[in-house]
Amino acid sequence: MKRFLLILMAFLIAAMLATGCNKDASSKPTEELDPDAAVTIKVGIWAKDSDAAGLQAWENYKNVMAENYPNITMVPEPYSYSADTFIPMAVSGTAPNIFLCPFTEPNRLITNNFVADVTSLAERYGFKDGMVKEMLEVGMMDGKIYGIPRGGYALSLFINMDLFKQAGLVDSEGLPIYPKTFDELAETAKTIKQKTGKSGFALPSRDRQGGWQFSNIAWNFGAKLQYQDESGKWKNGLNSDGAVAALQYYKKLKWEYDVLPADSLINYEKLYQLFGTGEVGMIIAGSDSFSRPVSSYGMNKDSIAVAPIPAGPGGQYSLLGGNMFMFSHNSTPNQLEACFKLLKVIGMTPDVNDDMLKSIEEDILVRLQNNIPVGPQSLNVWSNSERVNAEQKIYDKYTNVNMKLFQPFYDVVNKTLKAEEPYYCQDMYSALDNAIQECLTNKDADPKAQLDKAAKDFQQFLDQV
Amino acid sequence: MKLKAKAGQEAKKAWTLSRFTREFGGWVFMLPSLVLFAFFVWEPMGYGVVLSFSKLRAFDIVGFAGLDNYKYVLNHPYFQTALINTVKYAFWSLIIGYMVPIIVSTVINEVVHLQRFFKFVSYFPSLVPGVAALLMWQFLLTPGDEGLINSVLLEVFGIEPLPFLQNPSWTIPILIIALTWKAAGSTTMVYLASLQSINPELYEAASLDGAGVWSKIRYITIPGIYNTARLMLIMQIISIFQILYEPMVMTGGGPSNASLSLMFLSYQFAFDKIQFHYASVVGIIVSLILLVLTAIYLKFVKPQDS
Repeated sequence: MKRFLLILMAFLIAAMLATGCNKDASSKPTEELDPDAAVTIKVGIWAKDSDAAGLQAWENYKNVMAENYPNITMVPEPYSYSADTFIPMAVSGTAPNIFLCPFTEPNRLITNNFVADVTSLAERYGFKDGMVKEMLEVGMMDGKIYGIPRGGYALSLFINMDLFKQAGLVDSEGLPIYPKTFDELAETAKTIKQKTGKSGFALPSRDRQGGWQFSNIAWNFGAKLQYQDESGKWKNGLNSDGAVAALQYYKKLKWEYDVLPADSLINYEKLYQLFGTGEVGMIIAGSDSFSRPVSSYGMNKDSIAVAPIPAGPGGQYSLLGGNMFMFSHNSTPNQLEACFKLLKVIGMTPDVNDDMLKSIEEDILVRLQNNIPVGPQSLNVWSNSERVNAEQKIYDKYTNVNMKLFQPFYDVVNKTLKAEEPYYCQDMYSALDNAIQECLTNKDADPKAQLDKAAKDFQQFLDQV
Repeated sequence: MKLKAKAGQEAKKAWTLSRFTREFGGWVFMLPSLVLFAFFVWEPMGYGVVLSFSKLRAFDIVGFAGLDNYKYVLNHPYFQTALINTVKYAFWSLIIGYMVPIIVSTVINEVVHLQRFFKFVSYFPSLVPGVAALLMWQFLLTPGDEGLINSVLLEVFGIEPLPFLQNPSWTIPILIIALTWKAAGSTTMVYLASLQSINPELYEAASLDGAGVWSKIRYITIPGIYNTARLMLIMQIISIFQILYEPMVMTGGGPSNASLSLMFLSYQFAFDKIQFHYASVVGIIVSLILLVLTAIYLKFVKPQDS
């Protein structure tokens, strides 16, 4: 009996190993392209239930799609990307056909075969020639296109005008007196804390977002975080003088100036929350998210101003990021085609046409209705200046905020853009998170020693390059 | 010795076809759960072992890695930290959490009125969804004067705000307190069942002999629950070695990896970095540690005859 049971178990296990859980991981769609065939796509870029303005816009897109392409059925599956939820979906073949993900992701999604090659579609729909090359390249590997950039952002300094006014940090025109150096940043934060009792500044320190923002500040303090030595091997500069000075600065903000929130283990989302609810005077955030504190945390749209991250002894940099549309690997050619048609309908198209302009305008109208900032745009992804100007014209028409509050950022951003470091960024950020956390929670921590440790830990990853 | 061998032979003989046909009905009843077990427990376990020795591209096996994956994980900068932390978790959970259900169940067992109410109250935290409970703790423990506990401490006792989870040496004990609050209830029920199975006549007899409360606990209660407590100790160690949600939700493993557990490291390998092979290696190392610990424990701490 025991043997019978063993054999039964062995058989079951073998059968399951053979059929396995990874059904779709390597299957290639074989269906022929037929533009009129009935097709259903799962749309991950649909607005979430909590986003009233977005839902309204999507209702419009849905109608246009139904009118122009009656053969396409869209299933709303609003999805905000995170690696830990995406991977199980991709492995089991249930990921949405089209979804958005940050610029940090394409590399690993492509190497793991989780996304579809859309080179021919990107060429046919004009994306290949119509987009800023540097942006398009983020979603490319070995000359093939896997993603379509939706928008880029640069890290910037968000300013809460309510707190700035209370602290008397505005000029005669009502514009913020924003910090241009890191010393000024600390002093400004201190003034806010003294005059309003709220934290002057906040920094993330966990979920690898601490290291992410730190890398930008370290650049400004003169750090080179990754470089090749004479022999061509990759080395890290996490414990270089610039990086140590930057971490020293973090420590000073916390313990000397005392301008950071009491909670030192916070992530990026929490920053928006603190900022949007008026608990913090300044945060560093992406320039594609001006509306986030308003739509998610009820901030007044007129209370946001944006400046560049201050210049440091090493210069002035703004970390370049963005997000892009990608397509699940098990999408059929018909589904991919349908996704590109959808992109066109939502205004993501390189050429100027009435449909696209109308769709942008409708989107803006919805935002106006919901009191969300219209006017300041993120970084442009289109190389076609005609399109850029046409879009700008619509924005100019409907701008509902004082653009002067954003001007300091736009004045310098293009001169300061810098892409993320090339290798193992997530591991680098996680090593940096540890050093940052130590310095923000332990008054006696030694930034140099912490970064020495981070550098040692991280070099093990760089050695694999 | 001979006797044993003989008994073994008889047992073997007993596994004959006739016995199989006799017990066929039983096996049919067990089949669904066997299949489920095979699918949800044994298959993933077996697959985990396979993954730990494989080169992977996402979930696709692209080659045999030998011991490379194990070398990588054992040399990973955070592995040692995670291992030490996990042992710390186990230590603090025994210090803080082990006695709680025993004490609570003994008290509830002695309560005459409202026993059902107290049973419910002690079990209630187990009904609260995990993440919600952790967020509640996080809210209570917010550092600085805006935190709930801190503001009470400040207003009522004039104590300066405490850093709670931000102090690396407090993080693990605090996470264990949150965990104990949630998990002690169900263990309490187990102890209660075992306490209530003690023959009440023993207590009566002891009372007649003039034994006090402490002697009753010492000579009746403790021996009565000894076997349960023996099992619960190792079960607790096994479950603490798999601690994941508490550090993940409340601290993200911080500050400075002070609360990173082995399972959280495994999670990071799997879902942050798409390195399922390394995640499996961590899982297998954890199970090996637990196997050895359990074997030693069961060998040296023997059950008591009732």
